[in-house]
Amino acid sequence: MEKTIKNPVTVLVLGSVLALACTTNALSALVMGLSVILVLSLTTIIIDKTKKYFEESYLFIVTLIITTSLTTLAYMLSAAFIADGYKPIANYLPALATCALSFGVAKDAYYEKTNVKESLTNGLTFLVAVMVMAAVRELLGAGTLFNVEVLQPAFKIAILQKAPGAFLALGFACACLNKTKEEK
Amino acid sequence: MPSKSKSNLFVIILTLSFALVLTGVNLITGPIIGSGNKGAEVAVLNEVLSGAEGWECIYNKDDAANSSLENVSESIASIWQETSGKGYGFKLSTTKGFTGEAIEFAIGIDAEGKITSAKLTAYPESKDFGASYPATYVGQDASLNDVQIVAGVTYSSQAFKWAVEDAFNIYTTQLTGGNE
Repeated sequence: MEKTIKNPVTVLVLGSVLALACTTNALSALVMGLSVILVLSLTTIIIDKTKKYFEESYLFIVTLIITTSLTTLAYMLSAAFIADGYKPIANYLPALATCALSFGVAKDAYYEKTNVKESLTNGLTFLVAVMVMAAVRELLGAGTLFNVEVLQPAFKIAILQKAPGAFLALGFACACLNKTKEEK
Repeated sequence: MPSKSKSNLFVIILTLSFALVLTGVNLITGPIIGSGNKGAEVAVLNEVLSGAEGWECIYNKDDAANSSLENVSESIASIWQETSGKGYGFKLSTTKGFTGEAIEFAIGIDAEGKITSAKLTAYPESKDFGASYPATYVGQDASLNDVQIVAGVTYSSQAFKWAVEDAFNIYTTQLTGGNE
């Protein structure tokens, strides 16, 4: 529970651009979440296994090569196999290559002991957080869930599907989780 | 600690390795992405003109210079000809609604000049004119005599109607040789 509360989206607001962009529908959130898991975990593994082959001053460029390549890989796979989820976030997925989360895990992997488990946990909690936000925004904003109509059009709150709706949803998510944390 | 030259060599090998991996993945996913894009593009056209056997794009707003059609309205995103002569498909996008955001939809016009179906693909307005409104266009000809503007959703329904009129304008003056 503590790990879920202390996830990068709702506490550090790291990767919030990605979170805000991908939460208009649950399928896009799933694509973004899986892409984050792929990039974070493989970046950690590759840096950890290869750090003895390059100098410290090369860490930035090596990380950049790895994250841009893995992001391109995530783009190719999602565009080919989950196209409906990929299209709404097509402009935002490339931002993952320069996301602070990726550079954070790369730094950890270089200077500390290997921490694939933590990268996976980070990615999974990101996935859970964006999936919950996306489900709420899609259900209440569009009346659908995974593009299947659930609510009558009259019950829709259209603003949740627009940019301000993303900030509102993130704000409520942060507030609820911080409140839970305070009570503990 | 590795030397500078070893680090340089590592960066080169890393880049080449990823280039090889991405080339391999692209060989597999490239055709799937290409066919998916084409399939998605004509899927809505198949819905608005049932029984269509194939489609040929004869106008695309992003590549208007390469089309033989002239003076095409801003609201027409693309025009498709059904390959067996059943009619035409129009993808329309108008920003003349209440919020100014693009309302996108597709219509099919058969060889007799009547609308076969109209399907909304994007509707950003907060006030819905209902699924029944596009359905009122089915069977209408260029005069659009039996189409009404929806009270309370005047801007959006009017914008929808103007876009359909733009499509008919091209259909009657350029696609059927001005015979209608």
